[in-house]
Amino acid sequence: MSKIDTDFIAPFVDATRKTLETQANTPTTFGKPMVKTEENTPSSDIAGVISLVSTAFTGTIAICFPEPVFLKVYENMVYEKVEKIGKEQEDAAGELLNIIFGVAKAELNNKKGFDIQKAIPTIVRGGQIKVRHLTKNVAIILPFESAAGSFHVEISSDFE
Amino acid sequence: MPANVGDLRFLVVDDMGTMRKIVSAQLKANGASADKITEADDGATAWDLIEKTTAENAFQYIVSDWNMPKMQGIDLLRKCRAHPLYKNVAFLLVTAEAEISQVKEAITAGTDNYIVKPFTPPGFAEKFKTVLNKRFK
Repeated sequence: MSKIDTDFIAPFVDATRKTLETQANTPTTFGKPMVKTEENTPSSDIAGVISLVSTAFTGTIAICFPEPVFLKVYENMVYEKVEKIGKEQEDAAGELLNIIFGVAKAELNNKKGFDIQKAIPTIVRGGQIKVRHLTKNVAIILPFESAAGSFHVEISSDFE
Repeated sequence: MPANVGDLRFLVVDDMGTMRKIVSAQLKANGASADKITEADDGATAWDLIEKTTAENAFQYIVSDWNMPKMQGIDLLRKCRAHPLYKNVAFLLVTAEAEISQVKEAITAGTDNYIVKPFTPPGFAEKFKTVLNKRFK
């Protein structure tokens, strides 16, 4: 069983939806969260990853997109159509995750007393990449649907 | 004092090219002239640009991200407020940080306003105009 509770996950879900809709003009619907396994993890071509560090726990959050989905999100964000992911699109993926992290961090720190520290996103690119979480608890997949296509967020922590 | 927004010289500071593009587009949508918008990809680069300006060509409105490598937006703001040419420059801080302590820190450092990402075009316009009215009317 996951030790990540809904009070912890909900701010990241809300932040993802708010960020995609507001900054990237991409409204989303949230699917059913699931415990990540090798078999159920959607393959992705670009992922932004941020380490979660607080006095109470460490963990990871990642946002993962197939290339065609991310290119459409990017187009919605800056009104520019591009055919392939390049440096500027990597920046955009990092910025989206940075905003999601900032929104969720503020909610968790202001209202729930977590002390999550600032962090800088890392971008991973490649064919069918998968993010491996090294925390002792399971990772959770948060699936999202949009007119641009499906993407997901992964979150893990070593909450006791 | 400039007669309108199109006459103002802007400096947009963000380490993410996408956000520089978004902010510059929002400035243009609010009346800024494209040829009067300069972009810098971190606080240190922005400061280098600022130090090369004179009273005749100083930037008049700075829109800066907070979290950047080399020099953070809040440090750029503090340096501006201590600079004779820039102590009264219009300054809008853009941040993904909406924590109460950080908002207080930004106000103490002398920002004219701050906008929290993600923002909508109307949200940006409101903050942009608040700063404009404070500094240019």
